[in-house]
Amino acid sequence: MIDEATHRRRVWTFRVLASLNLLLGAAYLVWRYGYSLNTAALWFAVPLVAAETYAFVNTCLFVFMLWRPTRRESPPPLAAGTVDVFITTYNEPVDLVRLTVEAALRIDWPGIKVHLLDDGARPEMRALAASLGSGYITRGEEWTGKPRHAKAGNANNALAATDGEYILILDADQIPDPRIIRQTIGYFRDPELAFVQTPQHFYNLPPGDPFGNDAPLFYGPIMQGKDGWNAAYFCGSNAVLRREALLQLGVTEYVRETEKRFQEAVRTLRHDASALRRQSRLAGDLLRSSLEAAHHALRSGAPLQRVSDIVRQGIAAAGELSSYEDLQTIADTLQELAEAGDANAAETRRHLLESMDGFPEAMRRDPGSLGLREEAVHDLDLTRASEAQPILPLATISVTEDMATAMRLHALGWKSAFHPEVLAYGLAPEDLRSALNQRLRWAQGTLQVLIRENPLTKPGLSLPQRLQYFTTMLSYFDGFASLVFVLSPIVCLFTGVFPIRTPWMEFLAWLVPYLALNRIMFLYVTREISAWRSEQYSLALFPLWIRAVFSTLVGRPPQFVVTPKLRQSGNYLVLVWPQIAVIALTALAIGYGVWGLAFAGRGTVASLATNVFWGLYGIAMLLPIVRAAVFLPPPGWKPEPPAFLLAGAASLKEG
Amino acid sequence: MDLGLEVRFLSATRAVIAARGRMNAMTAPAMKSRIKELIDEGRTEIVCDLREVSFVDSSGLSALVSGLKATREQGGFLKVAGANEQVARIFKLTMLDRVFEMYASSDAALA
Repeated sequence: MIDEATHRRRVWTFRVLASLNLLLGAAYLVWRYGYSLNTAALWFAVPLVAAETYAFVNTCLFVFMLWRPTRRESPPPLAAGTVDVFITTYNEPVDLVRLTVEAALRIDWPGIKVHLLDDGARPEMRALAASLGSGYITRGEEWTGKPRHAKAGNANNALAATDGEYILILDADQIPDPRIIRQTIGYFRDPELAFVQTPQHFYNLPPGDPFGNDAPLFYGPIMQGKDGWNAAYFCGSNAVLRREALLQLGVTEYVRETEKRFQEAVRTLRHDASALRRQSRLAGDLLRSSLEAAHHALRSGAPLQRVSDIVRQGIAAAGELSSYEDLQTIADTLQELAEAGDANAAETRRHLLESMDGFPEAMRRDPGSLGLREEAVHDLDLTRASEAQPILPLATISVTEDMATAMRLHALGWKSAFHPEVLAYGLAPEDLRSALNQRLRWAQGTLQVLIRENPLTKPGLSLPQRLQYFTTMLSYFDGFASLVFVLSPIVCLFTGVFPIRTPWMEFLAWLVPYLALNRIMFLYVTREISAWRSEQYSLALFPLWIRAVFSTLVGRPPQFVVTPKLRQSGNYLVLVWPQIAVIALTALAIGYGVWGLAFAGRGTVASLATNVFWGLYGIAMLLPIVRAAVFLPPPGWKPEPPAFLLAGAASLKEG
Repeated sequence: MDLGLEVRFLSATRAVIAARGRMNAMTAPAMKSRIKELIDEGRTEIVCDLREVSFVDSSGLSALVSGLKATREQGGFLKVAGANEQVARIFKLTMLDRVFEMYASSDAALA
């Protein structure tokens, strides 16, 4: 833990570097747009300058994010507080879950209850919980045939079955440090604090972290920066949450959701009423006017129950009225038949008109026949019949429920904290396919939240909070800019067409100081961690980011997939063919460029050098993911959790 | 919810409409327009076979009565056949069983 003065000095150093960087960047872009665009090759110049602009916007957001990072130290623990530990499992092996449950039972806190939340409802898990003495929770009958909402649903189900004031959520593989509650629970002294997130740390990273799973940049400077804007994220595991905040969120969301469905139902029914009016004017008009009343009642904030009654009465009355209309039509027709000489018709008519007072119930119109859409009528009842639980505290709108939940809590005015100390040790995916699937799921989930609840417009968030969420969401559009960047040297070298029209030396004179300072700023931010692998992956995954954008914005919604934590065997070169293709093309382009200058006198040394450097940089960024595709752990390599977490460690110490 | 309608042509002037399902405001208009088509084709002797009809409400009755009137105007008839207990009860309740000729089956209606 650094002292306050050091923290202040570091923050100010960053601010100076960052401001200079942004100034240079802005000047560079002015020069790019105003003085250097190759207007003879706009097909090339425009995508490149757009990608550069995008990168600059990202840098601005990055600087803003890190402007005032927090420096957190564990506050003294609360005097008391009941804690439920939720260990969520679906299909993980018993031995893995055992480590976590055992460690959770050793957490140093009075009044702690450990619950194994088994979404797989496996007998061996029930037996494990029983043998270790932890609670065991599975979904009940009420979930049959209802959407299960994956991990969020699992935790929501357990929330309803427990009552601790605080909840520690752990994935099945996250082995907690016994101090995890003592170190975090003091934050809740602030009555407005909803959750404390701690870092995710992996004990099974092979040497060199081939799959780029380690996230020290995120669980370090980025989260500390977001925390400074009261926008630390909830990341799904290794976090302690306040039950009251979750329940308040659940109720608020229930009301919001119900009101929204209600409004939609009323809109739908107004449409149907117009259709009804074509077959029965009076009934249609009556229904329309009751919906009109409901609409106004909703807007003036009348209780939903009352509005529901108004519409239901309207529907019943419209049904009755249309039956009377039918009766009238029948009577009129019978009258005509009688006039044509049918004596029975005359008598039946008289009978019908007499019976109008006590309308024959049996012939009342079929309630389902007013042409009203059934789902809309259902949405008028307030039971949320489509869900197993009416109150869903953890957000279920996305496959990344954690981010959506944090955003909603922030929008309600709750605070959050990021505690930078590692207090749980878990497993990262051990092969490329699993790692890529996990990234794809996060990307799709985040973009889903952007579509469903745009942080820029969501009521209740502060401007900095909006920008924090937006920064994360925007970063998933990186793929398009990265594609332009990796293809540019290839295009330059093969075609001899350049996106800029000034001499190369002038271009370099503008670009190099900007990039150099950008680099220095980034290295300063990451001076205590190794972020190089993360950087490589964020560029190298460009095909995956692009796929995520297309599949989410135009395709089918993604499904929650449990990421396998144990190595799946296989060779994954097929997964990285775009990266291999770019590397091969770049190498060819470099060879072609060198040959052209040496033997055909094409180009200049400066242009060749720039493009070769640029191409080699791209190759350096892309190579690790290709190596990861054929990665095999060193023989005999077997990851073990830190010894102090394991059963026996405590007793050894005591002994 | 749908009312299945199946028409059997017996001659240039005669047809049986067999309905299936619920005859209500959603489905009765189809019955009504089918009867009108038959009359336009000159088939004015119509039997409505309700054996497979589970339910008739006021709008269903209205469709049948207007069909009856239309056939009569052309000198034909509209008979009802095969009404189940619930359906027959409504006809009785409304005394429409005195206006329509009702038969156990379409064969009986045309015998």
